[in-house]
Amino acid sequence: MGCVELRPYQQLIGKWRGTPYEVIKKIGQGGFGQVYLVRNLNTGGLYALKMTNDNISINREYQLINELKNIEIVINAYEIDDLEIDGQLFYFICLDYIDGMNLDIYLKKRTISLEVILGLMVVIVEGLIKIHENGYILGDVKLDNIMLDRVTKELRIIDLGGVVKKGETINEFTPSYDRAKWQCGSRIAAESYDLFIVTMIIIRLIFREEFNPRVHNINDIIKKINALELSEELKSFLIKGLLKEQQSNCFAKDLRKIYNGEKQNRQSKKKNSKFDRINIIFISSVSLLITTTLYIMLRL
Amino acid sequence: MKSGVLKQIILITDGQSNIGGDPVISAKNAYNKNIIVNTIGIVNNEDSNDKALDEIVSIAKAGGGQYEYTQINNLYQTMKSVTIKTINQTIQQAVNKQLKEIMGQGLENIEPASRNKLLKYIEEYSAEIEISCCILMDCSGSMNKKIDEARYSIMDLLDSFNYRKGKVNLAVIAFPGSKLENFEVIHSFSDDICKLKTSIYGTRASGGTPTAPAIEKAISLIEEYSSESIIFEEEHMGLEKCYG
Repeated sequence: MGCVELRPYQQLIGKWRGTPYEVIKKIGQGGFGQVYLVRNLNTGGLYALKMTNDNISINREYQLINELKNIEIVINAYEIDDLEIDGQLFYFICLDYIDGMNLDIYLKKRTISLEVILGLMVVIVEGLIKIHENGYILGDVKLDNIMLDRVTKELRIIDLGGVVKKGETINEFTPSYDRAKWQCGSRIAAESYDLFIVTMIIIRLIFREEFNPRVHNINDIIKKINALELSEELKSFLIKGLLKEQQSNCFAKDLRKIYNGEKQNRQSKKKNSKFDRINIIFISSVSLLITTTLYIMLRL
Repeated sequence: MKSGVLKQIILITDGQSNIGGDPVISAKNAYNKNIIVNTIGIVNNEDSNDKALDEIVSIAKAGGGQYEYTQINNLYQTMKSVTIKTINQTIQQAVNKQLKEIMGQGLENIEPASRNKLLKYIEEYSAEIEISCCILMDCSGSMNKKIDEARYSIMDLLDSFNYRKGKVNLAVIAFPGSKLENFEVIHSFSDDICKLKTSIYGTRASGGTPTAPAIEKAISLIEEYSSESIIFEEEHMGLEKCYG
């Protein structure tokens, strides 16, 4: 609310730094304001311009993104400036534009194997480790805030709205992924807060179902996990992720091991089925040869 | 900077008021008594009743507050965000006023990259200041399918206030009340907060939408309870510019 709508081809000039931008199209909208795909007319580059009338949160986000700029998975911010439009003052930051789709959409569009789910989570958790090393907790980890770049196939986190320092209270959360709602821990920011969310995401992707803490309780989920056809290792990893306090390093190690196991499983299954095919072809050709030989012999 | 209590009303409604006086006037009344009125309009997917939505905007503008539209399942986050935004804006205005007095220029005359310290200061101050917040929950017939989720959202908001650094005084008024009276005070400022968990389930959704009487009751509840307030100026026009 409150932000004026920008139109394609509209020309913008940052009030203080004078960078000229041309609006291409709107690519996002939220309570905070809007995000537009723009072209920097000086460099020709494409960027995401996040515009709002809330200068406190945009400043906060800009400072945070800069502090975490050595973390690959987090997008970069290039400038913060004001915009004067029709006599009103707005604030914006200029961010990396990721051409692709967010993971929520990506994963909904297709049936994904366990191996792919785990592989994606390995990458995300490795990013979380770096964020944790900087003293922050990502907080509201959401698949729709993680973009898959169409070309580079890299994952990028595009929103740091829920980020808080370790030890502070989580401000933004999604009830289905918030461990406090599931009575599995507090809302004080700690590494396992993020890890709980990752575990829940994996569970949701495996079951293709989102669980509601108002309707279920955590034991219902644990029962369902145990009832599944999964490796014991994966089952205990998931349960640990829901119930135990742990460091992201350990979590990542366990996850990587399970992922590698799944990958090998799949590869050996492929090999086996290859052998099966070779066997079938071999046996059928030999049978055909014998049958033909017998036939010819009988006719002679 | 004066310390004091920041008073606000959060009006949650899914439609046009149709009982009692003009809620816009009541909102202006609140603003004149240093109580900010924020509004949250509950919208369905594609459904939008233009008249009802206009009213939400007018009430917020008259009340010097924020307005937002949200679907019912996002009500908690919206309540949280309008509460915080209001506090931030109020403190920012007060800070700006002081800056102009001391330095002859406000935040908008300082380069964005240099504003960081000031904005951080405002953020911290906002987290610590005491607030008195009265939630007005629409319990008219049309809220029938949404009332459950609305109750949860209020309880979630209450929960998040427990984690807040600064003190929060909370009151909840349902309009109309469960006996179809104009309003029912579900929870008063001085009530035991544990009781809210049970009393909120006594609410029922039926009847019309007496928004103005509800706002008036909220004003009197807040005035009875809180004494000193954060004074903000006739920067009413300035506030409007902020929200477009």
